[in-house]
Amino acid sequence: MKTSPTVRIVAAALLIFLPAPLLIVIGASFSPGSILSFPPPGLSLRWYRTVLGEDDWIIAFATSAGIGVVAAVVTTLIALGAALALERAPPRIRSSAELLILAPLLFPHAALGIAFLSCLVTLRLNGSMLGVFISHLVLCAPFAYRPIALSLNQIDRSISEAAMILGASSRQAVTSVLIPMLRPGLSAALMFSFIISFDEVTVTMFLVGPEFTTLPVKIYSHLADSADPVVAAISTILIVMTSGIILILDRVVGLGIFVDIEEDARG
Amino acid sequence: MKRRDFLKGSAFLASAPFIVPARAADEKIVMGCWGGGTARMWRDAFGKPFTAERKIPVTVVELPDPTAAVAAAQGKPQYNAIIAASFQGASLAHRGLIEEFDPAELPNLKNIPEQYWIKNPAGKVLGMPVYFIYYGVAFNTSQCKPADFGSWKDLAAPRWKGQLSITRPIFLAPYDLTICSKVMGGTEVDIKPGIPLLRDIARNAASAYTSMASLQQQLAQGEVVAAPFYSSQVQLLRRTGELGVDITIPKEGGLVLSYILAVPKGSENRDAAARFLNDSIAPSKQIDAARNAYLPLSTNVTLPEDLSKDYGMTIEEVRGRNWSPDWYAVAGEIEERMRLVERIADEAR
Amino acid sequence: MGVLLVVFAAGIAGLVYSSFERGASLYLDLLRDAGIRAVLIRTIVISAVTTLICAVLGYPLALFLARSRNRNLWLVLVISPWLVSIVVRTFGWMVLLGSRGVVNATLQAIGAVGPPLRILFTPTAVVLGLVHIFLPFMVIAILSSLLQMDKRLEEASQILGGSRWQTFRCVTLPLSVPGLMGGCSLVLLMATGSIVTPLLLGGLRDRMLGTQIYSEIFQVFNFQRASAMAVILLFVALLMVAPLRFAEGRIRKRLGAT
Repeated sequence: MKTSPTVRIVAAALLIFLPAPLLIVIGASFSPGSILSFPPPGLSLRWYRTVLGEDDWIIAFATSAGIGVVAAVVTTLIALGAALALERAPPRIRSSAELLILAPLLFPHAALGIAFLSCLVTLRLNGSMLGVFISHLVLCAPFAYRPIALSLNQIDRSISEAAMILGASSRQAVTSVLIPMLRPGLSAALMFSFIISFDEVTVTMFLVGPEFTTLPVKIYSHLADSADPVVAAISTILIVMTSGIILILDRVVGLGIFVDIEEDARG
Repeated sequence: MKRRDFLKGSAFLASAPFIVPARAADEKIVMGCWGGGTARMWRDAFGKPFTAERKIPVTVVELPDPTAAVAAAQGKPQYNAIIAASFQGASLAHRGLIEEFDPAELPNLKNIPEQYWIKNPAGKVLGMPVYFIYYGVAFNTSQCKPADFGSWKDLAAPRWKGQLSITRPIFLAPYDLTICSKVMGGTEVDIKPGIPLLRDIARNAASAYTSMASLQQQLAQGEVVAAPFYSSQVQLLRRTGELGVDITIPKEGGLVLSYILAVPKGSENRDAAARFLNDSIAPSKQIDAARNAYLPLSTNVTLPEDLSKDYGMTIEEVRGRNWSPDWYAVAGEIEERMRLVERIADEAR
Repeated sequence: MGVLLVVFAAGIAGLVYSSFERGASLYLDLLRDAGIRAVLIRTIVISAVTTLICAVLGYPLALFLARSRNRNLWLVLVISPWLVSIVVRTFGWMVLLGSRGVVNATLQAIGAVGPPLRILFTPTAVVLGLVHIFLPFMVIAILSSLLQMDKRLEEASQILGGSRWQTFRCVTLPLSVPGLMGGCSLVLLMATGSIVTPLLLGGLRDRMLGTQIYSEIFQVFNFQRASAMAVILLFVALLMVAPLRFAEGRIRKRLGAT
């Protein structure tokens, strides 16, 4: 079906609006001066050299990326299990469980930060990466659960039942039939969880320790003191890397969110 | 289900090394500090020499707000040293979260005039005042001159409507309210006289800056033309070649904003921390700090020529022209005053 | 096994809840405070407006993406707000929306305005910033729904003679409602709790409840008051989302019947 011109115009306008601040940041990163300014008074790679020269930034980035990837995978798996389990649960149990899972969404992160810290202090995990990891799991859970539950709701279960009638074991029915059909939901879950974890600063701020820090916390601490474009340089590197990874992953693995259910089921 | 189990299992295995092992009882300093240049300064100018002399390792951790980290830990802090603005340290002390020291435990204190000590009524010291900056009026040089702000009252003039920026309530309360009150004849304890002036200044404010970076950008780009701001930020900006911003001290004087190195209560290695505190005002370290625009409080330090030139006056003059209030008293009322300034900001239209 | 996982999640959530057991008597004080009431109302209004704008703008974008061939490329642009840290993004906004910023410079160049428009540090800037962050969530939610819809239903409707608008109204829109409602609830919830955007883009008098809680915790260290405010925020958020969930349930039932 062809899309109407109004839809195209709105879409085009939004597709310019959304990346706009990024273009500013990318531009400002090439500034030779010491404050974030746009347009930059000149062009220089000075801040890129600073970023790549200082180990701290690279380590913080690796930490955030590592936590993000593991958190995304684990959260998605837990959310999948929970969604499958809750599908057949009696409605009252199901809604209370769903409320618990979605609860972190209802609290502002500042309040959650203090709550997590008290829990972690009791468990003597404050300042440890495991503590940060666990809190990220809780924060990402609602974002992973929702798309999966929504997907589960919308697919045609009779297909997996048909598979079982045709002789597939229940495990095969799940892995070869159900999970591929859930690809949009699973991809959304993975993507949301990673983004939430990678970008998280308000809660993580309290939970980092002497031995490590995450990239957003480091950026925030840096900005508390200086306004130099080093943050812009880092952000630009991140933009390039993340978009690159997404595009490559999609080509190689097929992220699924971009695929119609039908094309998938047919072939 | 095998694949899922395997993935979960390996995830937990991978995170096992991240569980912090039981801490060894070795002496060390773990210091919480603001990020960027300040952290670098503490690491290089203070931490490394300390480790070289005393063989005690120093780790400087960058945090958005060291005071908040200690307050959040509620008695079980991870850091045994933090840098804090004096009123923040005093604020923590009111909550019993800071170690108190007998002045005798920190012998180098004698080099600092007593008016700059942060003391509680019992006479105990709450940390080592390591350096100071002053609070004055920063302005955009292409749109204003120092004479425009000969007095703090000039900030309330109608011509500046929508052109100023002020800081967030948490700093408005101890800093701006206090200086306004002094200008109008009050003190740091009796701040009522300052309220109308602060309201008028707030009325002129277009924004409340939320970080150093934020105001630096606003001033340099001409979004706002002036704001009460920190001398260190302006000096550092100017030293990198950005001469579009400058700072002036109005005739009533500015504020001496001292910073203390404090020890959170309940932290480990109190003795090592005390030694770290004491060593921090050795003259060589003070001069290094001055290179980062943090001025010495101790009387046994002479700044080299090039640094004094930056300020346009000697260090004694800088100290003389600015006023150091009783931060302990200010911190005692901080919550009420914060709500007060929030109301003032809301009412100022 | 699924049950175990849910219990695990519940346990953690339980720990989070238990730390809010204090501060009961503060509620009345808070609600009596006119300043807090103003902040609450402002939070509700800004969140609702943000959600509405996201829904109205997000739907066409999702529609465009659902039918596009180069979805991957466009999707990268859609999620671009997430590729930079929120604090850095806000600097981008400051440059764009300032009195001497890009937007004003352009408007003045084409003669549309005289003196520069004051956009930065106003509620408008806050809404703009919030829409910018939450639009991707809305788009992806609606997109998932649209992609899982059977295309043949739309084709059938056209074959049977329905106009483009009729097809949209009777086939596409109703079938995508789960995604739309899901997106709206999500954006509404997140908007009410937002902290950094109103803090950095709003003016002195544009505080939202999340920002207020942030300053209670980080600056005054009054955790009781902050917890009480957080619970108030919770109730307000639930009250705002409840009608959406109700409508979603009703529409699902109607679709199920068909």
